[in-house]
Amino acid sequence: MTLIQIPDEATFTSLREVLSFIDESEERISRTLQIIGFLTSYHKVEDTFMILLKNGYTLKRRHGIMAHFGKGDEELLVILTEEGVLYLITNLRKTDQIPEYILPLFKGEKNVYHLYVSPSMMMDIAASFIGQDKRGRITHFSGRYIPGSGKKSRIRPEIKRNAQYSGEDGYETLKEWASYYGIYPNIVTFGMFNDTSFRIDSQGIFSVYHGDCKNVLPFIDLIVRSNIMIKDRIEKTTSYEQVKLDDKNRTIGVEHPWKVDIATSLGGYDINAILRESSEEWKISYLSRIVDEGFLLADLIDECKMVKTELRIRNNTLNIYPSSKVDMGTNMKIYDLITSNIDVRAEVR
Amino acid sequence: MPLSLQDMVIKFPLKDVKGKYKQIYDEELKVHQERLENILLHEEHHLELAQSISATFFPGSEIARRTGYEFQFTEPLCETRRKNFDVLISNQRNGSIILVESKTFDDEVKRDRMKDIFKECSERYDTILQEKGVLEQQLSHPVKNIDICMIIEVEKEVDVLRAYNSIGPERGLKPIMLVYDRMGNRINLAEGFHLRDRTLNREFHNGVIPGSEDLRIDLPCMIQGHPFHIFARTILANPVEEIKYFSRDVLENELSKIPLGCSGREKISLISSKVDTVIQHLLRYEIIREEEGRYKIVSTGIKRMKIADAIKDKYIRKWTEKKAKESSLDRLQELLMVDRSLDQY
Repeated sequence: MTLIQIPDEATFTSLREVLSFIDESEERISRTLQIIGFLTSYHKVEDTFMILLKNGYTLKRRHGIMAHFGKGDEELLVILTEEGVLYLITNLRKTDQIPEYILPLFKGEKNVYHLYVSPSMMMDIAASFIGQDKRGRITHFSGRYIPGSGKKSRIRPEIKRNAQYSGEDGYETLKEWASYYGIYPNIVTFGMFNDTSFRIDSQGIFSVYHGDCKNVLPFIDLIVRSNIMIKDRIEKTTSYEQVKLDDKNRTIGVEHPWKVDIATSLGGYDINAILRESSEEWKISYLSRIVDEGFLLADLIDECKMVKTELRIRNNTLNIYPSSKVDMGTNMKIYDLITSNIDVRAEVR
Repeated sequence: MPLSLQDMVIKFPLKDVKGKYKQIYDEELKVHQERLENILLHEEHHLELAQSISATFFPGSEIARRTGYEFQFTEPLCETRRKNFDVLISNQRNGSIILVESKTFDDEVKRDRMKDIFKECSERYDTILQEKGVLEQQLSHPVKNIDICMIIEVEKEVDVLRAYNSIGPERGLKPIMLVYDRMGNRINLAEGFHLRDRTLNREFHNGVIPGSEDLRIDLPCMIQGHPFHIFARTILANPVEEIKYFSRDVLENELSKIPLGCSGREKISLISSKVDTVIQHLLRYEIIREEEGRYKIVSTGIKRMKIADAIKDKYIRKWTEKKAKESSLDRLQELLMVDRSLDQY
């Protein structure tokens, strides 16, 4: 299914240019355009080629920071920005094809994680664009509430819930449901007054239903900024190094953690139970070692990247220690796990 | 040697031997299960304590800079194949070493346990004195003073000290007591105890913050730890795709991360014999089986968390059944003998 015709000589230097090109193009893209973002440590777009070629894609042409790939009648635009943010643009279906073909592509790769939109970040985006700036409305959202995860539910707070809503008053409803039922969104559809309608998914998928793609850019930018800030904070403190102890060539692995502060009344037993139950959805194996009210020690193993970290929780601070290597993608995934399940407003120190 | 159950049935035809055995066996199962669960939990706490002390005195840490005492290695003289203290820290400038043993206690602190600890400290100290030359070579400095410390966790401090004080010094070596308050994240000298080194004494008197918050050393397990604990730490938690298969190399690799006093061939041989012990132990309890030069974890689970849970349950069950069988036969025989001796009157 053709995505778009790109003249051979076209060359792009930014995501904005690519999106503008798509907007100005004569042909209409069949089906919804999907932009999927990843935070990576890649330096140039070629760094992604191996994976794509390995998965049966063929390179059609390079256009500056964008590479045009194809596989059968499927097409994929691959963009890598200077900051190492990777965007895949496709018109595959979000319901089945993207989770099946696109998301797994980079799952096992070192230092890669999809752009993550935490529940509280989603709320902040809604509050800023829709609440304050009144640039549009929310027409659909889905979200969930997990008891004890820092979200306040005024009604039956002990009940775990999943919710979906469609209606022109989505923003108002979202605020109400957040306040009454503790529902925080992981998917939100925005209908902007500039006639652009799109959906943001917590896994960094932006689906443009109607209007100009470039109108989604301010949202993408905000999410990228926030992801890079989290990544930078993590990378500033955490490391694994071999230290030489003496002249007898005795070396020892030294691990420096990154830290997350949580504001929750949950104790070690609660957090242990939550992580035990929820980690599998994130493809993380959770192996608890010491569980006490005031202290928790556990191994977290990222089963996609085969990276192990050690978690110690004391006095509402989570310390995450790298075990033999640091992986940015695994760390972002752990932060995702924490904000999705333990405290929506958990902050990396 | 206790008699077999069959022998006992024949020997005591008038007694309900089988019924009694069943009753004793069920009791013993419970006792042994609790015991093993405790052992495994203690291993984890023990490792965490050793870890904390090592990180606290890691070269370059604040306390190391202020006192001159630095972490050297874990389990000194383990190459003698005898158990020794957990961690050795030393001060090159004045030739002082501090040997730290970490201990965790059940709810009830028994005097007998404390007696055993003193005896154990005394034996370990003897080894240290006998092998002082080896230690000096490993440390590259003379050993002039030796302090023996025991670090405990705080909840039962009063009980531990009560048991400690109720036993006389003739029973063995009484270590200097350090108390680790995990919630408050501090290590203190217990009331009434002193360290030889004045600076260090003052630091511990005021409370030392364990370094493990911002730094920890890669210590997967203790070299003389429990075989199943070593297996859990190095194999079950090993981030590889083929979770159920492993080779000796993986165990050897992980164990070689442990900072030890010995090095070179001596270390390799020590690790190799430890790997043998662990593998033999796991084979005996049918936790693993050999398959084409590798080992396969015997579990029907597919995902790591399921396998880890199932294999721990299985190990506890197998170990408990074996121990319960042995001790039940002992108890049964004893009981029947006592009964018979009463018959004579």
